[in-house]
Parts: sequence; C-alpha cells; structure tokens
Amino acid sequence: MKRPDKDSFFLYSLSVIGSGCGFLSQILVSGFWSSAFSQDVFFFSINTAFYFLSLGLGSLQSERVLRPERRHLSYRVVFLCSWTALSIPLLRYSIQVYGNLFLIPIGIVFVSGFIAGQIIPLTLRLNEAQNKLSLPMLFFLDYTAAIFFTFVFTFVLLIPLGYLRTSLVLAYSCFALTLLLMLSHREKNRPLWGTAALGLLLPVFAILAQPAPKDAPGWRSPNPAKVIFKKQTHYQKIILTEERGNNPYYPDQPERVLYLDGFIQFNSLYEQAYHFCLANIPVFAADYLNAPPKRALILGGGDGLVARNLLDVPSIEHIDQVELDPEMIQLSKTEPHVRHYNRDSFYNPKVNVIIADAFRWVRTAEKHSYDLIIVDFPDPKSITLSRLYSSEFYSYVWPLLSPKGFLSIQSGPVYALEDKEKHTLSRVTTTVMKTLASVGKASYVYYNPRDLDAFVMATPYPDFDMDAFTAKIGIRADIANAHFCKYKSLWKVPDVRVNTLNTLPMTEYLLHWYDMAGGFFRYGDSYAIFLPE
Amino acid sequence: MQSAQLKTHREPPPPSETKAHVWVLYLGAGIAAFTAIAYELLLASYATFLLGASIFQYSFVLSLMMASMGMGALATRRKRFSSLEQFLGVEVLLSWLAAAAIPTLYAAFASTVPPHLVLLFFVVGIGVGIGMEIPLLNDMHLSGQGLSKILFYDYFGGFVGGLFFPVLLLPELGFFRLGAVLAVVNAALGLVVTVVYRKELRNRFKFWLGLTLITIALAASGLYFAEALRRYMEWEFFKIYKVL
Repeated sequence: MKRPDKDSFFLYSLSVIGSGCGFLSQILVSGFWSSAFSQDVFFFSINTAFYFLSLGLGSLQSERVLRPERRHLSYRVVFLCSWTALSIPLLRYSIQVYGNLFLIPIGIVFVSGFIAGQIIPLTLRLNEAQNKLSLPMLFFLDYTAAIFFTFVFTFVLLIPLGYLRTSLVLAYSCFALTLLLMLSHREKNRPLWGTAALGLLLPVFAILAQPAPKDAPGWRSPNPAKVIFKKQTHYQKIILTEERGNNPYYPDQPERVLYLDGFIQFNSLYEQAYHFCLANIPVFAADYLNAPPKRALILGGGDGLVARNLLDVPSIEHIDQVELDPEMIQLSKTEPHVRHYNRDSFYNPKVNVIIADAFRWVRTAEKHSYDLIIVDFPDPKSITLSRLYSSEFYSYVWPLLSPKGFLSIQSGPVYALEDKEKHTLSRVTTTVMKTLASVGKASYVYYNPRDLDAFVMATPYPDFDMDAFTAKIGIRADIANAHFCKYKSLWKVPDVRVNTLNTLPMTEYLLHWYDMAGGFFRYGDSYAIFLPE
Repeated sequence: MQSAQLKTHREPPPPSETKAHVWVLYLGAGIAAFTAIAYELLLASYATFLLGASIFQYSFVLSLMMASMGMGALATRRKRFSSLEQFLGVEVLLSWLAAAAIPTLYAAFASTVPPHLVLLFFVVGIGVGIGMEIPLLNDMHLSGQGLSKILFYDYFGGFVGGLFFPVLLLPELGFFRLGAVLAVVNAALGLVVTVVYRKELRNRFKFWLGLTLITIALAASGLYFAEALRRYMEWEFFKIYKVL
C-alpha cells in the first residue's frame, strides 16, 4: 500500500466524517429517547439493532452506484451532517405530536445508518485504481471517529449544552470540515454546493418552527401553569411551576409544584401529608420504644422538606443529608418559594448536606451511627433509580442503623390497579418489602390514603409491635382516626421478584403501573416542557 | 543434498473453497456479529445496572468497543498465524471472556476494585476480538469477491442480536446466563469452522478440535451453573438469599 496522498486524505477524511456523524446520530437519538421515556436498555438496544441493519442495507445499496465518483461520497456526507443536526428537532416534534411512537426514532436512525453504510464501500471503490487505502485502516479510522464523537458528546458537551445544542455543534462542525475539504479540492459541482446550502439551512428552519415551550401543564386544571424555575442539570430536569385560582379547594392560595424529569416531587398544598408519613411516623415509632432519635440520615430528599420535619423533633441533634444533584440543593437553598416551604432547613447548623451518590456513600459510612434513616428517592422509573431500591443497596444501608433505629422508605404507589377493591399491594411496594426481606429484614407498609403513596418501615429491634404502635398513635386502619397515614397488616400480595442488581425488575413494575394509570410520559402541548433539553 | 530435497519439496495446493466453506463464512459473519452486538449491549446494560448513568455507560462501552474493534481490525495485518487459526483463536478467547465477564464485574462491584477498570478490560478484550473477526473471515474467503456479502451478513447478524437482546435474551436469560450462552455460541462457531476447514488445518486440526471442544464444555457447564453462581455470589457478597 502506498503512502496516502492528497486524494487519499480527502477520501479518508470524508469517510471518517460520514461514519462519525452516522454513529453520533444514533447515540443522540437513543439517549434523547431513553431520557424521555426511561426504558434505557430497550431503546438503546433497538436503535443499535436497526442502525446495524441499515448499515448492512446501505452497504448493499452502494453496489448500485455503478461508476462511483467523488461527488457521490460528498453528497452522502453532506446529507449525514444535515441529518444529524435535524435528528433532535425531528424527534422532539414526533414525541410531542405522536408520543412514544418508536417507529420515528427507529426511522431516523435507519436513515442515518443507510447512508453511513454506503460510505466505506464507496470510499474503497473510489480508491480501487490507486489502491492507497486499506480496509483495516479505514475501519480503524471510522471506529476512532465514533469514539471521538461519543467522548465529546457525553463528557464535554451534553451536560452544559443538552441534546439539541450538542447535536448542532457537532453536526455543524462536521459540515464545516466537509465544506473545507470540498473547497480544498476545488469542488465545482453546483448541485452539490446547493445541496450543502440547503442542508445547512434546514435544521435552522426546523428549530425556528418549534418555539421553546414556555408554560407547564396545570396540576388539576386544563389551564397551563407558569414556570418559575427551570434547569436541566447533569442528572435531571428541574421545573417549578405556579398556579393561582385553579384549585377549587384552595382558591386563594398559590399552588406550586416541583417536577423532576416530568414527575412530581412535591405539591405545595399537599406535601405535608406525604412528609409527615415518611418522616414523622418512624420518629413516633422510635419514641414508642423509648429511644427518641438523635442522629438522622436522609438519602435523597433534596427539596429539604424531610429535613424540615425532622428539625421540628426536639431530640434530633444532627442530620446528614445525602443528595446526588448539587443543583437541587442550590435550588432548595436559594429559590424563595422552596426556602419558604423547607423553612431554610439546609441553613440549620444541625443539617450537614453531603453531595454524593448515595450508593457509594453508604458503603463507607460509619456503622450503627443513625437512629433514623429516611429514604426519599424519586420513584424507580429508570434503571439508575431502581438500583437505589436493590438488595445490595439495603445491605449497605441496614448496618448504619442503631439497634433501636428505624428505616423508612418511600415505596411508590400503594395499590395494585388491577384490584378495584384495593386489597392488593402494588408490585412496586411489594418488591420493596420482598427486597428488604431478601437481606433478612422484616418490614411494615403504611400509606397516605389520599395520595396513595406507600411507605415501608423496618427496624432491627426484634420486639417492635407494629400493630400495637399504630393502634396507640391512631393510624391502624381498623381503628384509624388519622387521615394522613394508615397502617394495614393484611394485604393480598402479588408475585414479584427480588430487586437485586442482577435483575432490577422494579422499573418494569412501575412503568406498568403508570401505563395502567393512564400513562405518564406525555409531551404534547404544555407537557413539552418536560422533554430533555 | 538436503537443500536440494528442500528445493524440490512443494507444499500441496490449498483445498478449494466449497459451498460449505462459503456458507460457513457468511453464517460465521452473521453469528459473529450477533454475539458482538449482544456483548456490547450486555456489558453496557450490566454497567448501567451496577453503576447507573445509562447514557454514560452506553456511550463509554459502545465507543470504546468500537475503537477496540478498530484495533482488532488493524491487528489482523500481522500474519504470524494463518487467518483461519487466528479466527479460531479469537472465537476461543471470546468464549472465555464472555463466560467470565459478568461474574467478574459483579465481584469487582462488591469489592474495592474499581468496576470501570474491570469493565475496560473486558470491553477492550472483547472489542479487539470482535474487530478481528470480519477481516479474518474476509481473508479466509478465497474468492475475495464477497466483502459486500460478508458485510451484509455481519450487519444483519448485528440487527438480529440487537433486536433479540432486549425482548428475548436479557428478559428470559438474565445477565449471568446470557453471558454463558454467548460463550457457548462463540465456542460452537469455532468448532464448526474447525470441522469444515479440517483439511486446511492439516496437522493442527486435532489441536483446534480439542481446544474448541474443551471450550464448549466449559461454557456449557458455565451455562448450567450460571444461576447457582449468581445466587452464590449474591449471598457471599451481600448476604442476599432467595425469599420464598
């Protein structure tokens, strides 16, 4: 093989740009789609499968170009650059209009792959006469381009810019390189330059045609809610909304709702019951054992509302709050409304905020050092969140409890929707209990009857009598006079698998519950604001 | 005299390529791609399960594996062994790596060993092997005209693997058994190629036959004991036991 010359450099470069853009388009679409609808494994796998199929079909299709010329390669690379820039706007539009119609992202990826699949065969055939390019070297360069694009996308651009702007930066950079190459080779083909100009402008028109959403959906009203805070962080999209006069029960009070990735974290008018059940019931239980809690650990709960409740407990001396997303803590410390709700809990000297991944942090925390552990994670709607409800996680958390300590876990929706009589626990809550049982810990479930939130509580103290305790504080269901929380000992329990890191069925259970409840992944109209940036 | 004998001694002409050879090459490309995409998704998905951050894990694994595939493709230019024997060696190596990957990652996660280092080892190792497969198959194709067809079967096999992974393979088998199944598939491919190309292997045939048979046996026993191994490791590292 001879040393590559200017022509070979041109062919290698175009091939690298084209293949890189094709691969990037696939990663962008897969990432955006799985961020919007969870189900990461399914979406990444399906997209990868169709990308490979289209690469193969494209490779076969390339043989129909009987006399390949440089312009054939140039046209395809220009198309791929433009298509990569169009991928996210097209996907956003299709999700808003059609919802989770997975033929659309598959179609986008298919087109990328079909064109990208023609690149290598055409490049080699263009080189046939000179024999200056080698197949292994071409594969090597194309694979290197893939890793470069992915590295830049994932580690450099995605967090600060989000999906849309990242796709534009990378696609237009490729465009620029392609045009430079065409100029340096004195490309005189006018239709090709015309196509390049069109390709440059189309994504711009597509973006201008889709103005960024300004409002969010109303909580229980068809009227949209005003967005008073919005931020896409490294981990999630945080949105705080405000409505006035839309709630018939509170016509004069503002109603503010915090969403994380489109899922509600708290509603200012209704959050007290949830946080009372989650945080105060285990405090009462510890008091019942004459072991009032002194040291507490909160995992998640970055809105500061659990900390607020615990700071009202006289015996509490110290709270460690572990939260993954520093932007969430920043919001809770600086946004005036959230500060009003959490009563500046994070400014209290008793509260020590730790920015860390809870899973890593609990592995190194001091054993038997907490009287109370409150687990307030978002619902396990993704694999990443489902891990925080796993046996392995609980095996690390449990040793942190003192002998008369209590663990309280937010456990998703309480009822199985298939049972209209409401005698059956949901698979999500059952899985939390069974997963705790898999590391040898018995647990009890109680719930907020209005919002249908379930909580699972456990203690290492072997003689704790949940029936007697709940009767004493008035939340036992048969004699309940409390409206916020109820405890029932007899439930029908569905068949579920233990949530270990090797199985993680919880996400599937939760997403199924969402489907039965009417679907949660809606992005039409004002719901479009919940789409990833 | 000896040198005269050496000069007059000629290598027998290579056996001609039969239909069986050609079909084994094409199916081999398809099966190799099937297992390749399954490996990529297996490692990326398992990394997500263990470590979270799906976009990061998929990007990390897919791109690093593609780069390793490129290195593997380049490595085939060295011709110390024949393409056929290199291919068989790759299939055996992939089988062992596939069988070991998931349990090793789980053990690393439970220990103080950084799981990403272990992941890096398996991604690069498997990626290099995968990257060698298609160029070697292409070299083994004597007629030299079938690159497009080999690429087609390669991509089609990747499609089937990617499609079946989330809807059938992972839900039905789980991670431990799936790794073992893929190990069996690669070993079986090695065995089939060994048998079909026995004339080309000449006096090396018995060696490769024995090696691929041993590898299949080990992979199959890994498959048989996969779930028991998973439960044993969950108990050993985290005291997780089966709840009835």
